[in-house]
Amino acid sequence: MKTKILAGWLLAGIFSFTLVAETVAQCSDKVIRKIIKDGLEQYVFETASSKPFNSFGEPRKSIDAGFTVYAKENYRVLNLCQGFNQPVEFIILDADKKEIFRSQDMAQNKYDFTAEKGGEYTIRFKFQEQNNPDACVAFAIGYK
Amino acid sequence: MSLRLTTTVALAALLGASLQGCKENPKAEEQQQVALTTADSVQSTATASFFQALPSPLHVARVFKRSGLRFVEGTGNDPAKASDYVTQTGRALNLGVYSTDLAYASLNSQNQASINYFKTVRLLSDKLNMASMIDAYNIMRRFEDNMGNQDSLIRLLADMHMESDMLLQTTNRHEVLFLSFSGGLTESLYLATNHLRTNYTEELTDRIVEQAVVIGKLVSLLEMQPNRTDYQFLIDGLKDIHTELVAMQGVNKLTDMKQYKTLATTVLPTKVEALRKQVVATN
Repeated sequence: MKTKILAGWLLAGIFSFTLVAETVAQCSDKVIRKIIKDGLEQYVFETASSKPFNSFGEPRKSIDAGFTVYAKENYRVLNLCQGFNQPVEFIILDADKKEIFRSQDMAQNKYDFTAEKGGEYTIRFKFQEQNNPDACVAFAIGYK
Repeated sequence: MSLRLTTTVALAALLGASLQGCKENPKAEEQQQVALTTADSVQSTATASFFQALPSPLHVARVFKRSGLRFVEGTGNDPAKASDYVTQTGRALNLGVYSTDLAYASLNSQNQASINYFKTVRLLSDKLNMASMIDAYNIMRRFEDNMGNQDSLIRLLADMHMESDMLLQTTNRHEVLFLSFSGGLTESLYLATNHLRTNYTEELTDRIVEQAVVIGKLVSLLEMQPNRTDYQFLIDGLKDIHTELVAMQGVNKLTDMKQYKTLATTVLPTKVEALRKQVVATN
């Protein structure tokens, strides 16, 4: 009987540890799916990426991610960063690394543009002082 | 309280025993090392995937279609071959191939071909434990209901793509993601370059040449994979095509248009066809 109780507690412990680990993870794919669908509106899903901020190693001041753009196509870039204590600035660079957009405030979390030329564009996130280890760095791209 | 203490002691004993086991068993140490290396590899692939996002194969198909590519029934991979794919590599590559054929058939309002390709995509996604990409959002029912409505079909295919993309990323199955994308891109290039052989246009050629960026990125992602020896032919074939596309980018179209056209209608289709033949033959 005692063995059964002990085994039960062990299993419960392992289960709750897993549950807590999942709950703590900010990059919840269910949440991200929902905000992508809402944020893209009439744009069609192209790609999305998300990673916990602390998985990039040393606390970073900025993170760059590349995405491919085809000339003359219409795009929407969504900044989906979550859980940061301070606003995350997001910047878009074209294939020549020329800045084509810089967010002005926290409410500005999307940028629509028509690509003058194709190539590898960059989305750059700039972080202020950050003390939330569970924050999530995420973005999505749509086209129409 | 006493039960809590017993549990803590039991957990500590369990942890201690496993640590002790590692010390005394070099094989276990080796296994732990392999597990750590694999975890590192998964982590670095996940990071690389974040830094280098791939476009949607559906978008590539739309870009090519808008540049004049018409899908001729029978040019895609034979749906009857779907059950022949038994390895993860073969299934992942050809999931991409069939998804692209499905996109072209749908974009060109070929209803029967769309249904056939949809069934093959359903079959292969199931074999790859990705059935949720079809089951989510009632995609099967929506597909049947919206047959003939191109805008709705595009939304639906995009939902499928989002579901599979996110599923593979969150479950750290990046290799399947990259292989499937490779299969899809190879199929798109095959259909487009095959079209160029008899219906050359500068616009479609330019769109194909634009894929050099994506192929370069894809090759670097594939080269990070630990099992890449299983599909070295794919990496080599993509590199070969990449070299050709970069060479075409360097051609001055104002003075050497003839050379540009020759590369587009002879050299490039031959290279793409050779790779596509290997992709669809990978069981």
